[in-house]
Amino acid sequence: MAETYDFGGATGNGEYSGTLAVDNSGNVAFTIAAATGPGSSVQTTQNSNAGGGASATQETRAVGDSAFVGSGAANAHGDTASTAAHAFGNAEIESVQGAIAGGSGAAAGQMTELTGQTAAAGSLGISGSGYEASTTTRITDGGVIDTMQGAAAGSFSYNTAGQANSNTFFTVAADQIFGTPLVLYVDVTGAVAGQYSEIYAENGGQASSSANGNGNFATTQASVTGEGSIGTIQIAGAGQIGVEGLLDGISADGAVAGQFSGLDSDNGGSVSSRATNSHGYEAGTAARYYGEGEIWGCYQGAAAGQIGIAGMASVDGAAAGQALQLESDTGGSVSSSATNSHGYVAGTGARYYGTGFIDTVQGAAAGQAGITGLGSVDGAIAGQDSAVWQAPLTVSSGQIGIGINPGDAPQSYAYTHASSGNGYDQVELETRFNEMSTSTGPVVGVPANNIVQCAGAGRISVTGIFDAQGAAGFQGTEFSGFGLDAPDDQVKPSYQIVTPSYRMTASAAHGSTHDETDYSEGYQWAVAGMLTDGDDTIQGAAVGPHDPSV
Amino acid sequence: MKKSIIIITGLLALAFMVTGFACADPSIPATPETQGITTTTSAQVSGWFDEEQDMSWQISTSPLGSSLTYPNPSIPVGPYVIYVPGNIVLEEVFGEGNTTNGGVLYSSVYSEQTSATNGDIEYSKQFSAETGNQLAGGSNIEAERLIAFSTDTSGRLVSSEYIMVDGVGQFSLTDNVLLCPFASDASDFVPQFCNMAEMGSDLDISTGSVSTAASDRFIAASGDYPVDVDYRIRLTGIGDEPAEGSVSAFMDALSQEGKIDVFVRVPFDNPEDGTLYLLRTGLASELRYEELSSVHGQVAVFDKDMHYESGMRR
Repeated sequence: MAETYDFGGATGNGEYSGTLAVDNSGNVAFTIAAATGPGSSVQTTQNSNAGGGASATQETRAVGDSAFVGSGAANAHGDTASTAAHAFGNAEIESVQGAIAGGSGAAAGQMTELTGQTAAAGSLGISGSGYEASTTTRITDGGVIDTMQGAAAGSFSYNTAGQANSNTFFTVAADQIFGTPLVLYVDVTGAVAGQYSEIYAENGGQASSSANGNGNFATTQASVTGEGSIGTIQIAGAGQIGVEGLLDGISADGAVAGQFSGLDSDNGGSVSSRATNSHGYEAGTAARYYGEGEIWGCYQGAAAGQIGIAGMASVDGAAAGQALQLESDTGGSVSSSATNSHGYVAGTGARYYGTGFIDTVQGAAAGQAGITGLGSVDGAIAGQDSAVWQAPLTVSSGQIGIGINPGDAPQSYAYTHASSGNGYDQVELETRFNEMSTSTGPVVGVPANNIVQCAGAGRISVTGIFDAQGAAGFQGTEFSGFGLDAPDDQVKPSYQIVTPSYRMTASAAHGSTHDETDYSEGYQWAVAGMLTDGDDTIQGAAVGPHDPSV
Repeated sequence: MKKSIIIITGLLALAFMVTGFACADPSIPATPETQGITTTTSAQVSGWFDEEQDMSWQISTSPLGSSLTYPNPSIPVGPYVIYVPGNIVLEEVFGEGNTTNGGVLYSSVYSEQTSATNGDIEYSKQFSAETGNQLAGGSNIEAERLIAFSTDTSGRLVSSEYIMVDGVGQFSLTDNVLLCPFASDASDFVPQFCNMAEMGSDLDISTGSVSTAASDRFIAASGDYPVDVDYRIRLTGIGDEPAEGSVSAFMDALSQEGKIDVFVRVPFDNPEDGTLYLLRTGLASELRYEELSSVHGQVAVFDKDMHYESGMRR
């Protein structure tokens, strides 16, 4: 028998209100809201329906010392979905929430504005088959959250361009922050959660989404510490997932998490994604800075299981990647790495200190990875295509920049490395902007465009070119003319590279055999182990090219 | 008089274990302040002897006299109970007068009335009551008696002894009640329960030697140990002569075990929001047990040992 109930009242400590729907197929939906403290109030319009499924909705404003607004649904197959928001300390929540359960699954979502000393909104979907996806956004020490988010479990298709309904949690309003309308198409058999959130926090703030199932796990998060704000669209799914729109053509049988985010802060910031599969393969990607700065246009994702990327690449293992621009006054770095269960490692990163920016596309994968028409790796691979620019810094008493000593301080650089499981075969490639000084004035600058690096460990095959076992990599760098050879520029003085031969380095190690470059002209390679191109074979450790004058 | 020898040796172990639902009886934690009562009585008398002892004890997780509360925070809705453990806001809204676990009330009674006239009586008794938490093997009430009585006249020894434990309680989360990390594998909840066990004996003899031991345990820091009630009585003659008179021992138990239908379990993502359970409670089992053993005449041996235990882990 289908039943609906309304409940509510006041206690000595606060108020509560809710509604419950139970249909005769075992589908349940509910809403509940509460607030505590003197003067607390719960103003709500709540409805529930049962019959051919169960649904419940509420439009609620809860004010008090603390407040909670939540909704959820579950079906007879064990699919559950919930969404909730809470705030503590001068709490105020305005929320529109809904939850629905039927034979194919359960879903819940909310559009909420939260204010409080601490506040959080989260959504969670768990399928009866054990897939789980969640999304959450949180502030501490005061702030405001605007969020649209939800979670679903079962079998669903989302289309944010379609008519809004209780299954639509992502928004085309992304252009309000990012200037680009976002249209998402998501097909899920399992669980999925997502959010579009803005966080204005004076000291803290975090948005994250995670998914797991069958031993696969993926998570993505954006975070600030100190003053800052986050605008993020995130999605995480576990099971059989297909995504179009956020990162085109992503498919995964496992777990996947991704975000499109912008983040700025006066003192901190971090955007990261990570995935692991049931065999212990792990891939992660991260961007961070400290001090003033900004990350924008950040597409980032991680996946574990069997992954397909836009028909161009496939990975059976774990993969992570990002495309972003990062700017800060005092530092910043981006990195990606992957490890398989046998300890094969590949990583790539770029870093600068002082004022500058990084524009990068990078990624890493562990397992069996294939790139259509290019080749494959069974092990670990990482690579990047980046531009790194350290803005001119004032030289004072032998210092480059504030607190950076040119003699011992790390300088901006991009690097990529790979090693076999026992570390027997290793390659490392690096482009470093080092020992810069001016010929005429107290200013330096280190721009570089098109740093392309890639390294892999394990069995590597580049179609029609070579096969390798061990570790291999290459890098190519184009330095920008800007700031390096502009003697007539009145704004940007000319520069002299004191030790240009160390701008690029490549090294390889095969056991106790070691080789490293002494020359660079914009392109380098490194091999450890064995490589054959059909005509020639390299065995041991080798790098190139070598100085033709030697 | 025709000499008749009746020998009854009884050994009864009644252990309430029912499959398909979880037996409750989770015990109750001790109050912050505890008491201990110990008495020792020894008498060797020709003539008249009288001993009367009564103890009644109630202990509750809520103020005595109030109704048993659902665990906080719970909201009865129609035939259901919405229970949201871990939700900080709802816990505060419903916090006044409610406790984290469902309300539990235990009662226990021990009494003895012994009177001997016109005879030789040897009586010794050790009694202790301890209101603190007990582990397995411990007792909250424990009484042991040794009595020998003989008479050349019309003297009689009349004695009765009674021990009872009654426990009632609302449901609670298993993980909140039992420390054993595997206990919740069987059931997320300790269901509602209403269990009572009574044991005792009556004795009216002109000669004989009797020993009794009564004990119970229902105060414990966690529900990992079952509630116990034990009673044993042994009546024999003195020397080569059988005991003469009548003796009976009884045990009554009523166990009503609830069930919890977890209609749905919907966790929220943030830990501060807890997990919502939609529950339907009801009576799943009702067990009645009555036993009375009586002998009359010349009794060589009357021995009866009764044991009751009830709990989630046994």
